[in-house]
Amino acid sequence: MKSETTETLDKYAIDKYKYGFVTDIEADRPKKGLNEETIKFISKKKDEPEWMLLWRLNSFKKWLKMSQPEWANLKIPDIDFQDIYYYSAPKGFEKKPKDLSEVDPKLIETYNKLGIPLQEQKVLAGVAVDAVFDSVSVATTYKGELEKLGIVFCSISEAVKSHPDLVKKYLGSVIPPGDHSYSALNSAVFTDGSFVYIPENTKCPIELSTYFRINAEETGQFERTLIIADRGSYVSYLEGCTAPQRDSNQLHAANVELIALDDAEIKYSTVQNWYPGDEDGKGGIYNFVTKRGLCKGKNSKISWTQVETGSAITWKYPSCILKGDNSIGEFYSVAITNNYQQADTGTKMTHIGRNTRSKIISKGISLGNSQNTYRGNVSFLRKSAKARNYTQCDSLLVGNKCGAHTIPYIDSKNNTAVVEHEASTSKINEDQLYYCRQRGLSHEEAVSLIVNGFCKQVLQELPMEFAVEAQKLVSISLEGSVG
Amino acid sequence: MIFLNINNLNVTIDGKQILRDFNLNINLGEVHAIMGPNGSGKSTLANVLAGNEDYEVKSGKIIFKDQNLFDLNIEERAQLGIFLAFQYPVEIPGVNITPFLQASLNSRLKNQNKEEVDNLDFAKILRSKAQELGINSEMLKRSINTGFSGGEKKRYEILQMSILNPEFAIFDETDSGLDVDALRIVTEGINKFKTNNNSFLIITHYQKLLDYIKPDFVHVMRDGSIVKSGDISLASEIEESGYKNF
Amino acid sequence: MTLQDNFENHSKQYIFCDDEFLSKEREKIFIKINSNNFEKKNNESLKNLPFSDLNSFNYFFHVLDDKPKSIIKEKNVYQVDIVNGRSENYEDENIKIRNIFSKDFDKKKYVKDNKDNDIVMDFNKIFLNSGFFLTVKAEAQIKIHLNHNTKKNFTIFQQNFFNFQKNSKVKIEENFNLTENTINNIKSDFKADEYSSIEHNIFQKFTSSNKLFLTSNATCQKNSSFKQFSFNFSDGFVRNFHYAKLNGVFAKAVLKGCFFLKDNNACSNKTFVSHNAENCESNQTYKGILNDISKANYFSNTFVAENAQKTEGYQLSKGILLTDTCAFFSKPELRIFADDVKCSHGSTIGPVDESALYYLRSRGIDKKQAMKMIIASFIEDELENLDEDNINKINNNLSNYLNSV
Repeated sequence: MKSETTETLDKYAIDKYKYGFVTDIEADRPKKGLNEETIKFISKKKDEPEWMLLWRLNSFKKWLKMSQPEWANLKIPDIDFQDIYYYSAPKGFEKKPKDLSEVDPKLIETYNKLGIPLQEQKVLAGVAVDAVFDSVSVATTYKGELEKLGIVFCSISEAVKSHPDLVKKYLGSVIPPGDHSYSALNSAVFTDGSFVYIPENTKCPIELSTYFRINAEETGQFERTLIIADRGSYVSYLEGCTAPQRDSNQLHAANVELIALDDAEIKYSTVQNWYPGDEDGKGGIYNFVTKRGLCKGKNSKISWTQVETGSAITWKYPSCILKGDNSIGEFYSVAITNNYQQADTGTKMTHIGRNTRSKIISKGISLGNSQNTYRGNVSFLRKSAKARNYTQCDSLLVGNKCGAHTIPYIDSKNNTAVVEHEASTSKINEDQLYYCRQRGLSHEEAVSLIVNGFCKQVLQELPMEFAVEAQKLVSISLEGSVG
Repeated sequence: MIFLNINNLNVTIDGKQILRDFNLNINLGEVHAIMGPNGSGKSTLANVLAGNEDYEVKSGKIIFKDQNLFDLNIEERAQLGIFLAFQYPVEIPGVNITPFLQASLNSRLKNQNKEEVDNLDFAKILRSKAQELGINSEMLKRSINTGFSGGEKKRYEILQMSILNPEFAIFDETDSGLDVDALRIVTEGINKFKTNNNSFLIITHYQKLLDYIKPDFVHVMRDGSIVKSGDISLASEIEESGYKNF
Repeated sequence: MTLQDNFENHSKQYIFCDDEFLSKEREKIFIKINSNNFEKKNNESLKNLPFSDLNSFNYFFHVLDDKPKSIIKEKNVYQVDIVNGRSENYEDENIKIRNIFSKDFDKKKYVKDNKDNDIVMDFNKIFLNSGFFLTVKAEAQIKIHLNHNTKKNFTIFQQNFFNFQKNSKVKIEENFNLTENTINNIKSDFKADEYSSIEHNIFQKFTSSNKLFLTSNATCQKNSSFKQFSFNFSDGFVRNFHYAKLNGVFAKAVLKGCFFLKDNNACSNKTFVSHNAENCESNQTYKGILNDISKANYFSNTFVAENAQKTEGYQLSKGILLTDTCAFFSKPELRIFADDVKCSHGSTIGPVDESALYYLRSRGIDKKQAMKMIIASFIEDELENLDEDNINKINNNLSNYLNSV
């Protein structure tokens, strides 16, 4: 028995967080701290037009007046916003490399280690990647192919210069800078991120993907993503995240805005695997992310799928504003917390238009000493006639030192709207474990199998290659906590 | 080799004694049936053999294939060749039979130092066995036991048995809740699988099942131990006059 | 009158004002509210509350000469009349009742009690003017009809303490006969000792100039059971906030309610069950029907402590909206710290089931009758364990309500 345990532990140690390495690369950073100078520095580094700088400074003014949201079921240590670097770029990135031959080979190696192929010839068919390393976008693959279709897929910094009209029109239109303190912070100091524009009646033929990586120490990452799907278009977008293993906490406060016009559909999938901290809760990423989609046009659809396994603290509510008549919002989520992780995650579905529909499937799994909260808000405004919501949120507890919490808010102001909500919390079923073990599976395999089954409704929403990755991630996240 | 020997077994659950000085010997190639009224301890026996951790073994010994069973946990016993066909197979939503049974089969093959099967080969095995048992492929796409009828669940257990190829299969009141047709399908499956190199323990309340599977030995159990052993004629005796004579 | 006027003009007249400690506490709470220095944004106690009414009412209370008629006893059935917050002291082999005095207050409890930031309870403490102790003795099996009679313009701020001793079996029927322009802010503590069994049925039906803020805290010991049903047919504002703590193993709490709103009425509901011991069971179910421009909310919460294994907790909230101008807000929470639990909640809000309505009408039943049938079936499950009398009472109220639909 002993050797088996040791073996498992060894395996655990290796598999637990395989993205915890640091890339030794020289970085270009301003002084620590948040002030107008920092913002001007970022804006200058990015060679931004005046209007962008003003937008940032305005947001900063708003941020100064705001306090952090405190309603979440999280214990958040005080964050010293003056003790963070707000910009970090691999040296020599003042000008974005034109092609991959100009990129530092160390960076390419990093992304290869992460399993993100940047060299187009190595790219598995069908995924275009925009990779963000600390504060800058490193490379965007498949760009040329997409350009032929009129699809814009580039870094947001590039878009500010190349497509200022679109950026001006839509940036902050879904998440106003003054929405809350993290949106104000992001709007002031966002460093990079992706920009996507899908023209009318175009179905993006490949999955677009961003890969976020925090490398530098004491650096906050504030990426900004803006996706616009014009009339009748379709796009599927994937986002992956990792960070090195460090003892200190790092802040990640991204903003993602989606806009779907008439008959357009956006599918946004995330596998979030930021460094969660060690077994004692030391280190890890603070993940305060605002994601919001606007179904602006009629018959539009926005679908969020997330698998959240990483981060020390997760504060994240990918939401949909269902403004266009007949528009559809979906939210599929798996959140696994282990050790001392804390997650407060869920969604907000705001039904404004007639006949709007939303669906929420949330699966939470708590292990170790972690706390896992689902928080969801479904509201039907006065004019949302015949709107519908279906919500199902299930929680699974493994061990008795963790907590699982479900906090839905349901607000109906329309008498033809129908909301149906179901939730359950239970421990892993002993009979199921017994059954699997009787068929020869080990305890750990049995738990992994059952949990994967529990999450299936969500995992099957992910694009194929992501789903396989996510299943493995689910199994890895459970290791060491069983038995 | 001692195939299965149960010696003076005493078992409790929640402090209540269920098995008392229970003894049973089964050789390779034999089919044994245990009959008895409700509460006589039949299902407890099945679960103790499988290693269910809810039961507490106070004293006694079980030797299976020359090994002390109490040294092995649930999955190790399964890997060694013990298969329990459950009375009420549990539903496992979201888990498909393919990855489940493939992992299960491979754990057993690994134990026998045999080469594990890959996805493609396993899919072939699964399909051909299912066909043999008249299980349609649509059923293989569903989650384990989820939304199955009583008969479908039992057939699913037979399918798993025929793929895992255990040396010792225990059927825990498999006949309960089955109609005659389902019963025939299940017993045909068992009979097809039966060879000289495996043994069966059939636990049942009624004689009906034993009309289809001819056991070599019939035991009557009462209050936690075997009170009488004999051949198939014992079953007819119970059918006629019940358990009151024992 | 403003809060300040009320406090200053009447603080010397309050009963219990002889207690220095209490006076200080009252002053503290008053300052907190008066300076507007309390959490408002996520404060559940403020939802749908007619705050201006609460804040600027005319405090009016005095002890009347005519004593409440109190207790009539017939075969283990007790009638306890509470007139303007006061009852008659009484004792026999089953029951003991007396009004409270200032020395009755456990000072520590008085201070720590309000961790929920409940503004209504703050008012209750500041203006506290009445209350009683009611003890049901061990082994007693009785019924109690508890009638609150509040005369015109009276403002009642009451705290009651019920104790159900070991093995007692009690059925309480609580009624509110409110005349006109009254405020009734009543908090009751229910202490259920081992193996006691309590059924508490509450009927709320009064005119729109009256307001009722009813709060209860049940504490259940080993193998006890506390079942509460509130039926709110009032034209006036009602707040039902009910809490239960399951502190002994195998205890059971049921907090259920139905409300029927019309015109511009509102009601605020909350239930909260904390499981602090193993093998306990709870059920929180509220169902409501809203008409005209009424609005309602329901907060429910199941808390399961780390040691409360083998918990079964169930929640359900259902709302039917009859017009496009009413509104219902629901927040069913689960907070679970133990792993061996089965907890669930369900919530639906929507119109009357159109297909059911169509079906019934196609069988020749007129629309109004069909609506009645559907709505009656909506609350039917909740009536299961009630007496014939109570069911009749509810059905009468229900058909009155539906006639106005």
